[in-house]
Amino acid sequence: MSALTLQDVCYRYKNTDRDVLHSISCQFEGGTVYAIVGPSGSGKSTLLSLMAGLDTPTHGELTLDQESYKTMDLDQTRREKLSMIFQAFQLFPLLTAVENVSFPMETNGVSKRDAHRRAAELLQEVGIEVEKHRRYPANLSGGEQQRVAIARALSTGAGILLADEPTGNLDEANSIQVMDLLLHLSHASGRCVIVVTHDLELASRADKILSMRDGTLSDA
Amino acid sequence: MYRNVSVEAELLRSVSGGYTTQPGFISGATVDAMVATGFVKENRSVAATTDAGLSKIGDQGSLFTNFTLCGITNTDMVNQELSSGMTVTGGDGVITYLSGWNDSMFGKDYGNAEWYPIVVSETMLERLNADLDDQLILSAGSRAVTARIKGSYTGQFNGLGHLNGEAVLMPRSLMQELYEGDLYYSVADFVLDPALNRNLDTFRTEAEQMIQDDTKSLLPLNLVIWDEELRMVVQPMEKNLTLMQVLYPIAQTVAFFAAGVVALLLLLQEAKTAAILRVLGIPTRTVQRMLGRELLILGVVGVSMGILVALLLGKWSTQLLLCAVIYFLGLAVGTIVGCMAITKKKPLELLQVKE
Repeated sequence: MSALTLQDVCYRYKNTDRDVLHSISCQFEGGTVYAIVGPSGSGKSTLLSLMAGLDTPTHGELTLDQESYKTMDLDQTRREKLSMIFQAFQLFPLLTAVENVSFPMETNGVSKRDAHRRAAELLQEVGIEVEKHRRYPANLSGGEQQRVAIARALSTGAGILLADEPTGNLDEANSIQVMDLLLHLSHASGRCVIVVTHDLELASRADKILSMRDGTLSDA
Repeated sequence: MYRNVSVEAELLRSVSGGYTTQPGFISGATVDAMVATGFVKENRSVAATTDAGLSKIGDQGSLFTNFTLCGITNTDMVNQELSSGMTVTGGDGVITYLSGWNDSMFGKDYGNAEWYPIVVSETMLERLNADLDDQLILSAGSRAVTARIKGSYTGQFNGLGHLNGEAVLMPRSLMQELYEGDLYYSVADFVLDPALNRNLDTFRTEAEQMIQDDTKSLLPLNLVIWDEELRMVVQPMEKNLTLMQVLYPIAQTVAFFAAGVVALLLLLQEAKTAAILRVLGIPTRTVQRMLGRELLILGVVGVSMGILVALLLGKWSTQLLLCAVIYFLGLAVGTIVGCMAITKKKPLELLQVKE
């Protein structure tokens, strides 16, 4: 069970004197789906960026499984322990579905054959039929593309999945399906899933809802 | 290029000029003055006079005068040819020399000659009842000298101007010695020094002044300089070359920056790809190397194809290689700058959908 902990985290953009995030302290446990809701400009994406290790807080500390972000190799962390999905899916357009999913594994040293085999399993797990495994993203529906993205995020066995508006480009039916998939993956394998969204109805399906307002995080 | 073009100049009778029965109408002084300008590399003029007679020794009663005595320096001009290689009507004279003698007899320096070598027609040989190497009396103006027949010819020469009767050929230097200031030319043809081709206007001015000042020639003269190739081809070509020499470094500089800008723009289009790779945990340096290498490989392939095409077209030169190197350097600089630029941006900013 992974645990991501934020302790008194503050963030300020360079050459500004206003904090975007104010003393955020919370803990995210494995096996739980968290929804962080809030209006645009409230700091949700900045928080997500810090949690992904793509930026450094101005103050405070983040730890993953009790290891501080300050001491860990964040690139390695993103390869092995932490993954992300996005509103616009962000698949490689010139790779097929199975190649997109196998890419992180091959980067981690897994052989192409094993990576492709595991990728096929993951794609089936997220509900992508076998005949669609060799399709390019442009030939998949939005919902299917997001599923491929989720499969890619799972490919490294990461314990923490960060989702930035994962249903923003999907219709209602697909949105519910994707959310249910995330819930299933979290509960079944003990992953911690953190979903950033401003869709309250979608957020209500999460295990826990947190509210982001003016750079502060609180229970909804 | 100027030095590779041979230009000839000629003095011709003016169209509006008068009439003379003499074959030689161009004053020797004028020809000498043309040579004295320093522009003439080779004087191919033909001295010509009818003030001459031939007779056998001991038989002055058989004086033969129906010919034109022509002084030449080489046999190149005796038969005119068109540029296509065809001969003009009458230009079929062929000289047969006495053993040990050849065309070079006309260009030799004879010093104080005791006798004068001449070439006569076969017909004249018969009329004079003479043979090769026979001695004759040559009446040249007021002088009488010994001439020896060193060659005979068949056919007709058409490059010696308008002659009266047949031609008797002798070295021009000896003819100048015989006639001195009374020598006239039927053909005034000069090959100009290619090293002075750039100053042809000066020569033209000087020569035309000489013609204007000429009072001794029997007919008004006209100067013709055969410099079409120089004016129509070489001058424009040289202007183009000069322009290209100026443009070349500019073109190279433009190529450098164009390659750099294209590389930068292509990489900026890959910013999202770079962001995805970084989110997937690929280290920033590795991302830079991956994308940079991809572009440089494309650049190498492109430049190599360009060089190959140049080789196939036979246009290889070290300047081409230099151009290729400069282009590739521009590409490399653009790639480095581009790689740094796309990894400087925050990944989430690039991957989020802006509302």
